[in-house]
Amino acid sequence: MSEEGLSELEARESELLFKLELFAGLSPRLRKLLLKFRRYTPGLADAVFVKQGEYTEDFHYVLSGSVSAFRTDTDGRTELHEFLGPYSWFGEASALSNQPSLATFKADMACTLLTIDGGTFKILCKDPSNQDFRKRIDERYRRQALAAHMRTMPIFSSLPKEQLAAIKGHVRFETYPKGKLIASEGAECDAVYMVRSGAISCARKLPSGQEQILEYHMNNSSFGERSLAGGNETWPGNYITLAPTDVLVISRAAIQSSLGADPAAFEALNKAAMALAYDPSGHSAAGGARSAGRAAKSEDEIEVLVKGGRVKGGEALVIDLARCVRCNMCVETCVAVHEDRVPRLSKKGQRTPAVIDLVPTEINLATSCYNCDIPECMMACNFGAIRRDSAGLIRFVYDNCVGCSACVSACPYGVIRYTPPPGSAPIVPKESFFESIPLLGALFKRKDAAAQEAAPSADASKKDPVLSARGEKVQGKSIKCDLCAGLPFEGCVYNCPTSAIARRDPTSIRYDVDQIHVKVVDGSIADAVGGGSRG
Amino acid sequence: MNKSLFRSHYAWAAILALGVWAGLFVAGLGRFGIIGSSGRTARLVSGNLALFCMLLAIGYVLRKYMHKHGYSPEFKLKVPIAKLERAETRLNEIRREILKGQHTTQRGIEALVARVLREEGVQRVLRIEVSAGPPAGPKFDLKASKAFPLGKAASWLHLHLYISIAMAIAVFVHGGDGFDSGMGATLLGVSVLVIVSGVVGIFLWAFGPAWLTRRERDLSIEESFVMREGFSRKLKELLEKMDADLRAVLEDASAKGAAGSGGENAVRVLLKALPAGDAARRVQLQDALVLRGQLQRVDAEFRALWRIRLGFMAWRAVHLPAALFLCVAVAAHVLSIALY
Repeated sequence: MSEEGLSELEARESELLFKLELFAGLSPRLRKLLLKFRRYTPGLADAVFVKQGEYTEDFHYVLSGSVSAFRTDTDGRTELHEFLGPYSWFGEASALSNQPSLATFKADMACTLLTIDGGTFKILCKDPSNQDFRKRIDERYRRQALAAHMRTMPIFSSLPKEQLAAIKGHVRFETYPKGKLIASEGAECDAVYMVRSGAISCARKLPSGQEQILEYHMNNSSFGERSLAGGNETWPGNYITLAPTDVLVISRAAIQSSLGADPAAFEALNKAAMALAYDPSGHSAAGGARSAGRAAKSEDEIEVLVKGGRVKGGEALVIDLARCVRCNMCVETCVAVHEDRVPRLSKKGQRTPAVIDLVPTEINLATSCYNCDIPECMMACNFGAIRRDSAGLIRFVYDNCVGCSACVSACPYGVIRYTPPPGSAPIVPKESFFESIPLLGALFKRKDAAAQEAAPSADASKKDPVLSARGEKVQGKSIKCDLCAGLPFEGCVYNCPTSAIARRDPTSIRYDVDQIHVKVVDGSIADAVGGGSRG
Repeated sequence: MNKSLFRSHYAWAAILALGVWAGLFVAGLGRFGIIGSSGRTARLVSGNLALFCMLLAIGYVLRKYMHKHGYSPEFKLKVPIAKLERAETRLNEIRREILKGQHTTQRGIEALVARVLREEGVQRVLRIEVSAGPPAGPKFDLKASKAFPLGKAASWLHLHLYISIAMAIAVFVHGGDGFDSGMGATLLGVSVLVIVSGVVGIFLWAFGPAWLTRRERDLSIEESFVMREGFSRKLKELLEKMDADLRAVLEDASAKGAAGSGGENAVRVLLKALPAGDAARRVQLQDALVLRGQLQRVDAEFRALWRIRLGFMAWRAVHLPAALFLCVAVAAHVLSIALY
């Protein structure tokens, strides 16, 4: 097609697209952005666009045809949840918070969807000039998806539909900035909160003056159920946002007025709230209810680990120092498996005494990605360059990364590192076989290779700047452990000759809690981890 | 102490070889090189057995270096992440079907999982374990892990250790009395060197890491190395910026300090002699002194740790050249037998 024909088509597309009610109010800048990053997803009858539980960050707008949403509850029953005709949409919650889809979306007939990636959708929602767009999204969400969303909260899971619909009308949508105190310890507990996107920590003050983390809330988890438990309940800790956070707030008074005509229903809700708030087997000490599938852990050492910043979720990369012969094979393998020859593994980590396989030892928790339950890096990224894959692992989308290094600052564990943009860094030459022979290798070291290693490429500054998929200048690249993505092994673990390095569930390691606690009382967890039994 | 080095199923190979040799002794047939003196066939069989054990032992070294340089065939198994994600999404679908009670037998689920992995082309990368689910959860649980197709390096090390001991026994059964010829004496002598250094190495690797860990106080050996390099670079850059006379005084002071003849006094004298208005040079000199002091402390720490590391790694200085020489000598021995 000629360029003229193409631009004519684009103009026609633009005209049609911005006649749609949802996009009509976009500013010229946002229109340009949308046209650049929109894509069209066609589907024949029965085509599945998104599956329930799938991690996706796409927002879909139905242009033609129709889509049905099916939801399978924890009891295994599947129900038609929603019917979406032309000019309706789905996927806004996933696009905003990267949370797994609440339903399976399937085409009823041949249809076409306009798809917007999470990064672009976040910009459309959060742009101050575009309040109308956000309002429409929220309104429709309240009308169509809110009841289903509320149903995922354990407190409302068994409430009849009519009563849920009555409560739905009283739900408030709130958006808080990072660091906002939502509820104070000891204050009257008067509402139930559900985290729509972002993250909230709950911490209480110990008599020693130290702060103790009770719970993290994100991805549909809820707290404040105790407000419905009947008595004069108080908040168990300070609830503070860890990132810009969207929540649903349902006040006790609103629930009471909604269920006023049905005292039996309110009493049932009271009982459920009592069970949630005070049953230690299923729920947290803070009385918050987690979303389905996340087990509660309340052992003493978890508190120590969280406080020490050593674990937040996932698996830790543990180096057993009584086994590690410091051969550096782990790092060398890490270099070998990455095309840019930059190691993702850093052996710098926190040291602590521990007991592994019944043997007392000292371990080093290497700074490798924990694939956090609350990925602060993902929340900090404004370019859609960090996502969670279907297996729950955090991955970088390098096409979108511009090297702003926001994720580097956001990562609480210093796991993410920053490297020069692709192509500008000097390529470290591969060692020859003879060079790699221990002790004797130095005799075979090439002089030119050593010089090249030491000096950065002279041409690097002259090269054209690298651009991201969005057209921004790439200033660098963030890297972290990718668990040797696509390979049948995790290099460092696979190639350690003494099995010193392994991925372990942090809760499976018996930390020497007594020693750590002694140091905590002294006021320095850093000493506890750094010192241990050494010296 | 790393006890895991002494616990391996490959140890049975060594025990079996030792048992056979002990049996020969008990039967009154045993002495060094017994089979060597009892016929060509027996000599060839024992020699081939020793060679086979040796090749297995070399396998560890080859695997290690092939991985390090990215030549291992496992690198070719790499699949695009999109394929893995598609497979994972389909596995999630199976998990949901299990929850709904659509799958009731473990064998049926295993077949279904195998089909998904095959269809997505990730069967050589992902391993899925189907097990009974938790009491209050779904009936079956699918747990995904990496496939580790050729076995971990640690298993190969165990093979290397114990098959080498079996090899040593086979070698002495084959030609233990061969010290009278040049080739025999060389092969047996180097074999002894390789085996003894290797056994010493096992013990040093078992105890060494604990010694080093106990000695590492504020800095680990890696941290001290990195800091030493960093301070050296900074000091070098600073010295390059300095005037020649300042640099000369500092270097002279360093030399005297190293010799223990009070080099610091020369620097103090110079600091006093610098005019009060010459702030830039004064700061340069002070920075250099601070950097040099830090470098000396970090260097001392690194050297202390390095000595310990060298203590439990130095056996390789004997083991590796001797093993390389043994390979060449064995190749010559085998070739000479084949040709003559």
